[in-house]
Amino acid sequence: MEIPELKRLDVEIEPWVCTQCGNCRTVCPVFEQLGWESASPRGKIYYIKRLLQQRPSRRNRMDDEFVKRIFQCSLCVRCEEVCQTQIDMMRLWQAVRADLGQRGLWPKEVQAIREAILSQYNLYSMSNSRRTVWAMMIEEQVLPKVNQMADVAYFVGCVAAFTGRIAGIPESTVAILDSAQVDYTILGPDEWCCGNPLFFVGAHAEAIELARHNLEKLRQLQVRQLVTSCSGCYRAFKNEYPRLLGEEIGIEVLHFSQLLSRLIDEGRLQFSQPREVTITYHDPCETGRHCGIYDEPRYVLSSLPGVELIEMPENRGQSGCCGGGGLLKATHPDLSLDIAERRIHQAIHAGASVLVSSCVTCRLQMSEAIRARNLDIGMYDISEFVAQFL
Amino acid sequence: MDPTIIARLSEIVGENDISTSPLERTLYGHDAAPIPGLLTRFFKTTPDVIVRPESADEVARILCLASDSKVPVIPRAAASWSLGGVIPVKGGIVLDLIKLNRIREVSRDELWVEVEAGVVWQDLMEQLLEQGLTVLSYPTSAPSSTVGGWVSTGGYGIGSLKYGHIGQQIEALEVVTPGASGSRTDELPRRSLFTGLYNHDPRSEIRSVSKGTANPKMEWFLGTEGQFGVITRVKLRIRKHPDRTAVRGVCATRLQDLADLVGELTGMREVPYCVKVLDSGLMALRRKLRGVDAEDKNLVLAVFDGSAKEVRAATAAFDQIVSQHGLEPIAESLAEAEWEERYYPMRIGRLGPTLLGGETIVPLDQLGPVLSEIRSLQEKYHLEIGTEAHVVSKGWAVVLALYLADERKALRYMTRLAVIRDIVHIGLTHGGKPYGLGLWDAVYVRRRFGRKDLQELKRVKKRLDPNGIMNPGKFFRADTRFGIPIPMPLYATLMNILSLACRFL
Ligand SMILES: Cc1cc2nc3c(=O)[nH]c(=O)nc-3n(C[C@H](O)[C@H](O)[C@H](O)COP(=O)(O)OP(=O)(O)OC[C@H]3O[C@@H](n4cnc5c(N)ncnc54)[C@H](O)[C@@H]3O)c2cc1C
Repeated sequence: MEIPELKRLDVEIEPWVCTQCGNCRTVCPVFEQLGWESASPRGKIYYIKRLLQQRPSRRNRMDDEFVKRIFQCSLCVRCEEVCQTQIDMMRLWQAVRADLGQRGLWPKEVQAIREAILSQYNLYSMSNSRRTVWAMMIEEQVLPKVNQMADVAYFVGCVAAFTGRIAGIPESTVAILDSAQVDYTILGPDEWCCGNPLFFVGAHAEAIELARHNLEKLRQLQVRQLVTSCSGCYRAFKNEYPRLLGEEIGIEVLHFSQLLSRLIDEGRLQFSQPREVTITYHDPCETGRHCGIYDEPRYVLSSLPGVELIEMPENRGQSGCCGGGGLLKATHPDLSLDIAERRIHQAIHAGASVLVSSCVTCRLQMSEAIRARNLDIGMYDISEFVAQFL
Repeated sequence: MDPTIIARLSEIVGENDISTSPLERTLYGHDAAPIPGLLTRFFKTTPDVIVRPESADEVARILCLASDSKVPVIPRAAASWSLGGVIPVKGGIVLDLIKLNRIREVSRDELWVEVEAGVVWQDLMEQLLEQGLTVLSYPTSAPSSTVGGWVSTGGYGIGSLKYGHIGQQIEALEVVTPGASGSRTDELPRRSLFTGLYNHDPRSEIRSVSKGTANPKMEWFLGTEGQFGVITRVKLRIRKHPDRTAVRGVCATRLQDLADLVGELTGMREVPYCVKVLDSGLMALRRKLRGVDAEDKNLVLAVFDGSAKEVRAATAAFDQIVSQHGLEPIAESLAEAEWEERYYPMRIGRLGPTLLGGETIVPLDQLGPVLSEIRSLQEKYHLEIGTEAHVVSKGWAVVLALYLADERKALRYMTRLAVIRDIVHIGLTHGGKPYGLGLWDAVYVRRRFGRKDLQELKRVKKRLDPNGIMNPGKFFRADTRFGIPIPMPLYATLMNILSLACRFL
């Protein structure tokens, strides 16, 4: 059977280099929950190889269970960290998901997300004119910033913009930006989904319009630096856009944690509210393993007066996943919460009373797990946590 | 398979821990080795059902049922071995030991740990480290493989030089043996761990086998690849985590120079924790992977650990030996980087894209000639081959030769399999033995054990597994699905043909 998407994403060789050593089984959060070979990265790769070995025939078909398993993955790519042969797991899973899409085999949740993004330019099928709904309580502060010429653009992202429960993240972000006297703009209704959910399923071609639109708007406003508190948007701008468009985007892309670190260094943030608290930092997969941001958030958190930052045994490149990524939350919500619960237990076990991350999805996901599973720990995004010290 | 067996298995393990799905059955029909489809067709490698028992009691019930019904049972841990040990030969029940993964007890004072057999080495090491402890030795597959898997197979790896074979570290084992048919699954013997033997019982037994017990002997379960029963728990000696570790490396162009050095290192007063040799072929492949030109250099890596004082003394002694041999040490940072890579012997697989390999355990004084002969296979077969040898005792080294192949080119790939035979044969002609048997090397069983020991093992097999349900069709002989075993002469002829084809294709 042919899987042309493997070629498109330049991962044709990857299924063949897998040694089946099983290192990926030990770290895969999904395999840890389900425990069947079919749920492990190596199991999926073995099956892909079997498919490639089949002679093309009309009777060839994908096993339904395999299709399910391909979406039982949070794309945390911890598997890649421990892989004997350094398989490009991210691209591999993207390619296989793309192939399933072409065969009409995407789960209905994925279809719905795709349609929402393509028709409304946001994840939730909301009217995109409501992009600033999160700023309801601080309209005077935020609305004047919409579509202004500025050096810095704050890209809010769909999750933070439309999810009332975490409106605290964009609120805190603008509070910090203002406090440090950063001259910034936001795109408001002109901000379109960055396309990350489409990248997760290898639908690169469909994301191109979104990328072009966002970049055009940013260029119109002469933005030189894009800041986002969403690790998915960060990943899209930083990794996917240049690849997709075949050129550098010409705008510096910063995760908010990186900007915070710079602002602290430049002495532009004063923390006047010390607080004695032991915290631990959860590395989001998309800023951490996918993009290598490990030091800046730790630097920021350790700069806060009174804060003791401790590490969980699984940290940085070996960090556990919150289970919220890769569309797993949409397709397999219970499994995704089980994974979050495991990670939260690690934070509690380490002795932290507060868990801080720097990703809107991690924040949403872990807060939900803490509530649903009755766990005793505080959970904040780095922006929310830092804002408490201003 | 009779649906009533499946139904009864489901009662034993619960419906979440049994699978007959086509996908799962495909995935439990292979191990780490990429065997061509043409070859696997001689065997019924697809299991009928996979079960995941959670306790020795469940294992015992399954073995009783299987024994009554004369259905094969194939114990499977992480499936990181590549000799076909976990591959069904005639279908049957795959016993996935993934749920036997609890660390039961750690004694800091007496320095032992009791684990279930499916515990992964790396998980164990991480848990012990939290208490300032660590294991005595471990396989380089520690990130994936299990304690029970290593007890059941080779048992040599990192740390063996200092602490011996895994067998020397085991205080006790809990094993489940199948017993005769006619057993009643509802009347299992009660378990009492590690306190002594159960009286012989015709039914499936959970036995506790300690060091020094006569019958069954603990040795019967070491390296016997799931032939006599299922190991469910292991009590292992452990140690305080060493304060210091120092890594040293030495390069040389002539292999024999390094082989001589290695011989002397094993006689050091401060026994190194690990000594391994990476031949120039392997070094070249690693450099190729990084896009760097090859150098004709072989490397010896020596690792010392212990208190700061011990390590200082050991490294000083090492430096002296090295200079007496007129050899040059490499930079410590390079040696350390090489040590960091110890879990990744197969990195070079990316160059294949397929990686094949052969393994043998050879007398240490033959290491030089063995490595040279393996090296010469590169010319003979026009392939890229690299070898890693672990010195595992004063007298022996485990040699793993890896070479590149391409599974996508079916015919040529098939012929490449002959090289495995050559590697094992080089070991045998120098007084070595096959390192394991499984399915693919079962033809060497007599070479491995010798006539007398083999007879004893066969007697043990009859006694402990009278219905022959435990991992049948391998180890003692490689049985095809047609019930006909592969005899040595046929195997040899086939390999000779492949070898010839491999040289000219
Ligand atoms: C990267 C890499 C490095 C390796 N390094 C080493 C090394 O340093 N030293 C070494 O010896 N090997 C090494 N190996 C081979 C392999 O990893 C070891 O043999 C390992 O011990 C197998 O463990 P497993 O849990 O994967 O067992 P499996 O592969 O699942 O099983 C191996 C055999 O043991 C039987 N078995 C497993 N568990 C039990 C049990 N509880 N009771 C009864 N029978 C059982 C199975 O039926 C099978 O026959 C390496 C492999 C890889 C991929």
